[in-house]
Amino acid sequence: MDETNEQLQPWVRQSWVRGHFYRFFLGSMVIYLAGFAYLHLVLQEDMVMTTYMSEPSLMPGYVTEKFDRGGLANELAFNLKQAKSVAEKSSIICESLLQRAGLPCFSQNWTSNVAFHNSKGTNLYTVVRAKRSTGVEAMLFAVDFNQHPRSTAALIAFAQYAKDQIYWYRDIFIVFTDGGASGLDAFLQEYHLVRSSGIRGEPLQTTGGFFISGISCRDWGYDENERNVPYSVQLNHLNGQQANLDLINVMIKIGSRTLDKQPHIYAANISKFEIEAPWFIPYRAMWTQAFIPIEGLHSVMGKYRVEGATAIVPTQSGNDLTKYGKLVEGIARSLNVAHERLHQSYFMYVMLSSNHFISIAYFYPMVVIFVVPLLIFILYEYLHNMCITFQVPPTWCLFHFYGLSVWIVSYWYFANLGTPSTIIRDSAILLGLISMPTGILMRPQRDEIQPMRVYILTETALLAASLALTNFSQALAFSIIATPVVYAATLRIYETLTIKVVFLLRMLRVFFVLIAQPFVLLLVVSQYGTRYFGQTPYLAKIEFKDLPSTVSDLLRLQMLYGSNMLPLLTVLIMPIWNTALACAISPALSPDGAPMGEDEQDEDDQVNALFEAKLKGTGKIDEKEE
Amino acid sequence: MWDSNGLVVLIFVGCLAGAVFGDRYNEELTISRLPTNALLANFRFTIDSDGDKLGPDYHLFPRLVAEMIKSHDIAELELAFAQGRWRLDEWGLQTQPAIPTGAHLIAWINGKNESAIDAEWTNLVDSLNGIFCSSISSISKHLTASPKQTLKMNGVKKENGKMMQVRYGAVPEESLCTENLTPWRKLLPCKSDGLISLLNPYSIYATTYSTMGLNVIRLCQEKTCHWRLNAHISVVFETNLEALEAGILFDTLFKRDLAGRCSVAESSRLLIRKGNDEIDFSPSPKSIHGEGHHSYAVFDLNDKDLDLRKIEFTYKNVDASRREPAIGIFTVQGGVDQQSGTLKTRIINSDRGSKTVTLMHILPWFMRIYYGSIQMKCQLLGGSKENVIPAVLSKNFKESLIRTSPSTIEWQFVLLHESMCEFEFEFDKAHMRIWDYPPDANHGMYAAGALLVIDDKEGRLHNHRPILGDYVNSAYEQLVNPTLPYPLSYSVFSNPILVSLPVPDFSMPFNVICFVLTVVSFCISPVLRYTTSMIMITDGVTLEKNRGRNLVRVLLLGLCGLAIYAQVNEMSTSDIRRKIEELFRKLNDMGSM
Repeated sequence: MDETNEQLQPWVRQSWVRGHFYRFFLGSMVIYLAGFAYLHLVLQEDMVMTTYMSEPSLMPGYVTEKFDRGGLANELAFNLKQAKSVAEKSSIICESLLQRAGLPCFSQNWTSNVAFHNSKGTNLYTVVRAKRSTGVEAMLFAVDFNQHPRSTAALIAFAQYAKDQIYWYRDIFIVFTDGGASGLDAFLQEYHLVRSSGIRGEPLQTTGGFFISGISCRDWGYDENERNVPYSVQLNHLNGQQANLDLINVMIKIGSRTLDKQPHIYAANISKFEIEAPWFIPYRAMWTQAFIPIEGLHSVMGKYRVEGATAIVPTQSGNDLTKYGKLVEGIARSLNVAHERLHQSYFMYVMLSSNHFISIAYFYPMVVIFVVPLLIFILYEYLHNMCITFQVPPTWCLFHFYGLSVWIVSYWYFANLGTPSTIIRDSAILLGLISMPTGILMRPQRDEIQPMRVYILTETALLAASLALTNFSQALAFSIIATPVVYAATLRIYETLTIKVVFLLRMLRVFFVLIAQPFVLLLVVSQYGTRYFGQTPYLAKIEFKDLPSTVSDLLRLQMLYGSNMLPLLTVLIMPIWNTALACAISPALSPDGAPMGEDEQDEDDQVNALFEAKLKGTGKIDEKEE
Repeated sequence: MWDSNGLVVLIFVGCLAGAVFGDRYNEELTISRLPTNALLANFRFTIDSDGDKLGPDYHLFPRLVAEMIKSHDIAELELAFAQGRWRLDEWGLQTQPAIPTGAHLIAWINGKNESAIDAEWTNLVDSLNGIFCSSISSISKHLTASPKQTLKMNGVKKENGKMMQVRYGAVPEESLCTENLTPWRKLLPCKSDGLISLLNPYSIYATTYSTMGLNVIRLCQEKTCHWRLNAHISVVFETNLEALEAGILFDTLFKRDLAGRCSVAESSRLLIRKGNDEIDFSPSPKSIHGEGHHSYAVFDLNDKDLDLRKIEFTYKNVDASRREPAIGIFTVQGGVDQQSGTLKTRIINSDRGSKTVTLMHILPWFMRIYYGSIQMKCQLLGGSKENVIPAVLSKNFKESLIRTSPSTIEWQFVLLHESMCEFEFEFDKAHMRIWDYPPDANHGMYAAGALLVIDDKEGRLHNHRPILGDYVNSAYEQLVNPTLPYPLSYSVFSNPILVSLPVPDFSMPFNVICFVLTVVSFCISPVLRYTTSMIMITDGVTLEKNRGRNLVRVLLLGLCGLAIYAQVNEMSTSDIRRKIEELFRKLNDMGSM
C-alpha cells in the first residue's frame, strides 16, 4: 500500500467528522430529550409491573395474628410518655417490664468517636430465643425509645407475647436505641464484630446469628388537625441502598390488613402525605434515594447486610395498640418462615406506588439514554483526534489530585483535630478549598485541550453508569445535570463563525458551567426538594450563608455512618466540574480543530497543511469533495 | 395363634434367657427441675452383653449393633442427635455425654492403617445414616476430623494388635424427628412396655429441647469384659411454677401413662431430683438417696405394689435461688462481607476454681483459617477487668483439605477462676464450585460450634449438673455407689454458626451487567483497535524496544498457564502458595548442599 495514502486516511476521516458536526450535535440533543420522554413513559403506573413475592416461603406469613397484649402495651405507652428522663424510660423498659416478663435486659453504652461531634447514649436490648432451632439466624426489631414511646411499648408487649410462643425458627432481637441511627449503628457494629472509626460501642453481652431482616418502628406523631394519618413504610438505606422488595411487600400487605389503612411509601412528614398524585411518588422515591442518607434507623442496617425498613405506624392518642402488636407479629411470623436469606439483588427498584415498581431492566436505560450524547461526542472527539498525539492531560490529573488531597487531608484533620467549637470555621475553610475553581486557576496547555475533552466526556459517562448500579437516583440526577454541562463545555466552537459570536458563545458556556457548581446545585435542588418532598437532605439550612454548616453536616454523615456524598463531591464531581470549566474557557478552534488565537501556528497545523497540499497534488481531495 | 398362656410362656422364656445367658437390661428415668422451672426428663436404657464376644446368638443385646461393632471393628461409638439448644446460661451444665445442636458421631475404630480406618468410618457413617433414617452422610464426605487431644476413650480397648484412632464428625443442621426415633426404639428389647411407653413423639417433639442418642462402650472388670449399649433420650419441658405447684403426672408431661412393666428389665427406676426443693410425692418413694443438690427420690417401677398411673409429685416450695452458671461458651461470627470473616469464641468461668480446658474447633474446608491470626485474650471478671495471659499447655492444628477434610484446632489452656477468655481468628471464605453448594445455597453453610472439655478433678462442677449419670454409669449407679468416680471431665458445646458464602447466580442484575459488559468489552476492544489503528512501518530500533514488552507477554502467558494448571488440578491460591514455598525450600536445600 502506498505510504501517502496510509497517512492520509485520518485526515480524510477528520474532514468527514467535521463535516457532520451538526448531525452529531442534533442527534445528541434529540437523544437527550428522548431521555425525558422515556422517563415520563416509564413512570406511568400502567407501564410497570405490580409487586410480587419472589420468596414464596414468605407467603405463610399470612396467618391470623393472635397478639393479645394490647392492654399491656397501652399501659406501657402511658408510663413511657409520663417518664421525663432517658434514665427513667430505661428503668421502665428494663427493670419493670422486661425482667417481669422473664426476658433478659442488656445495655450497651456507646459514644461518638468523631472529634468534632459529641454524642453518646445507652442502648437497651433483649432477645427472645427460638427455642427449638439452631439459633444461627435472627431477626431484628429496633425503636428509638426516647422518641417513640408507643412503638416502644408495642415492641415490649410483643416481646412478652413472643416469649410464650414455641414456633420461632429465628431468634428475635429487640433493640431500644438511645440516639437514633447512631445507637443502632453501635449495636450492629458490635454484633458483627466490626470496628468503625465513627462510633464506638461496648461489647455485647449476648449475640446471635445472622439477621435475616431488620424492622424499625416509629410513631406517626400527632396530627394537629386530627386527620386520619396513614401507615407508611420507609426503605432507603445509606448511599442509595434499598431494602429487599419482598420485605417491603410483606410490610405493606400485612400493614394494610392489620391496620386497615392504605399504606404509603417514603412519606415521613405528616404535612406532606396529602400530596399523593400518582406521578409524585416515584419522584419522591428518587429524591429520597439520591439525597437522604439517613432516613431512619433502618438506614444503617444495609451496612451490615441486614435488609431493613421502617414501619411508621399511626399511633394517635386513644388508639389501641393491639393492631400495632398484630402488625409486628405478622411481620415477624412472615420473616420467621423465610426459607433462605432475602436475596441481595432484589433491591434495585423504584417504587411507583405501594404495589407497583420499576425494575432495573427499565430504569437503568434511563441513565444510559442521558449519557448517550456524551458517548456520541466521545466518538466524535476520538475520530477527530486521530491524527494528533494522544496523551493523558496533566492538568486533568492535577484537578483530581487536588480533589483527592483535599479529601484525605480534611478527613484526617476532622477525624483527629476538629473540635465542636471550631467546626463551622473549619467547614468554611474546607468549603473554600473544595469549591476553589481550579479550572480557572490552572489553565491547561494548548495541546491538552483536545484529549481533555475525551477524558471528561468518558469520565462523566462512566461515573453516571457506575453510580447507577449503587445509587440509581443519584446517577440520574447527576447525568441529567452533568450531561448538558459537560456537553456545553466541550462543544467545539469553530472559527468559521464571526469573532464576536465565538466570544459570546465562550462567555455563555463559561457562565453556564459556573452556575452549575455542584454545591450551588445541591443548594437549589434541596431548597425546592425539601419544599415538595418533605424531607430535608444534607442541607439543614438552605441559604448561602449556611453552606459551612452543610459541609459540617456532610462531614458528620461521612465520619459517623460512612456516607459517600462528600468524597463523591470532592474527589470526582468537583474535578469534573473544574475540567469542564477549563474546557469551557479554552480558546476557540481553527477550522482543523486546533486552538486559535496564538501567534505561532501549531505543529499539527503545519502537518495538516502539508497533507492538504499533497492531497490537492494527487487530486484525491477534489474527488472527496465531489 | 398365641393365646394368653402362650404369651406367659414366651415372657418366661425371655426372662430365663436373660437370666441364663447373662445379657442384662436396665431402664431409668430421671426428672429434674431446671433453674427456669422447666423440667428435664432423661431416659436411659442400658443393655449389657453377656461377655466380650458378641454373637452368634443374640438375646437382649441388639444384633444390629453387635454386627456393626464386629464388621467395622469398632472400639467405642457414640451417635447423638439434638433438636434445639441447651441453654448453658439458664440451665447449667448439660447432661453428660453432652450433645451439640444437630447430630454428631464419634467412633474409635481399629484398623491396620489410617486408610483402613477411614474406609471403615465411611461405611459406618453410611450404615448409621441408613439405620436411623438421618442425613448425616455428609460427615464422611468432608466433615470428618481426627482430633488428637480433646476426645478421650471412656471404655477399654481390646488388644488385637491393630492401631486405633478416633474419628469425629458433626452436622449442625440435622434435625431430630420421629423417623429417627422409630429405629432407635427398635434397638431395645421392650418396645411398648416399660419406660419406653412414655416416649410419645407428639409430646417429645413439641418441647423446646430434645436429644436422642446411643453409645456403645467396652467395659472390663478385673479380667472379664463386656459391651454396654446406652440408649438415651433427654427432653426439656417448658413449665412454670404454677404448673409445678399443681402437681405433675406422667400424663402431664408425656400426654401418656406408663403402659406396664418391661418384663426383661433387670431394673426399672424413676428418679426425681429433689435437691433443696420441697416436694410432695404420691405415693411416697421407698427411699431418698443422696444429699443437697443431688438428692433423689427413687421409685422402683418393677414394684408390683406401685400403681404406675398414680405417681405424682407436687412442688410445695421451690428453691428460687439461681446459681450463677459456672461455665459459659458461645461463638460469634464477625464480618459482613462474603470474602472473609472472624470467628470469636467466648469462654466464661464464673467458678472460683481455675480449670484446665481443651477447646476444639472443627471447621469445614470452605472456611480458610489464617492460623497466624489466632489469638486468645483473657481478662478477670468483676470490677477489675484485668487482662491476664493464659497459660497455654498444648496446641494442635490440622489444616483442611479442599472438599476432603475440615480444619481442626485444639487448644489446651488454663482457664483462670472467675475469668473470661476470647479465642479469635480470621478466615477467608472459599469460592466454591457450583456443585459444592447445597439446595437453597443462599441460606448459607453450617459450621459446628466449638467443643470445650473441662477437667474437673476437684469435683467443683458436680453441683452444677442437672442430673447425675455419665457416659458409663447411670444416675442410680452413681447415687447408690459413692465409690464410683464422678466424671473427671465435662463437655459443653457452643452454638453452631451459619456462614454466608458467595453464591453463584448469573440471573441477577449485577452479574448480568458485569457478565455482559465483560463479554462486550472483550469483543469491542480488539475490533475497535484493529479498525481504527494506523499501520506504521517499523524499523530495527522499534523491534529492540519491544523486547521488554515480549518479556511481559511471556510472563503473562506463564501466569495464564499456571492459572489453567491450578484450575485443572482444583488447586486454591493457598495450595499454589504452598507449592511455591515447597519449591523454594527445595531450592534452598539444594543450595545448602
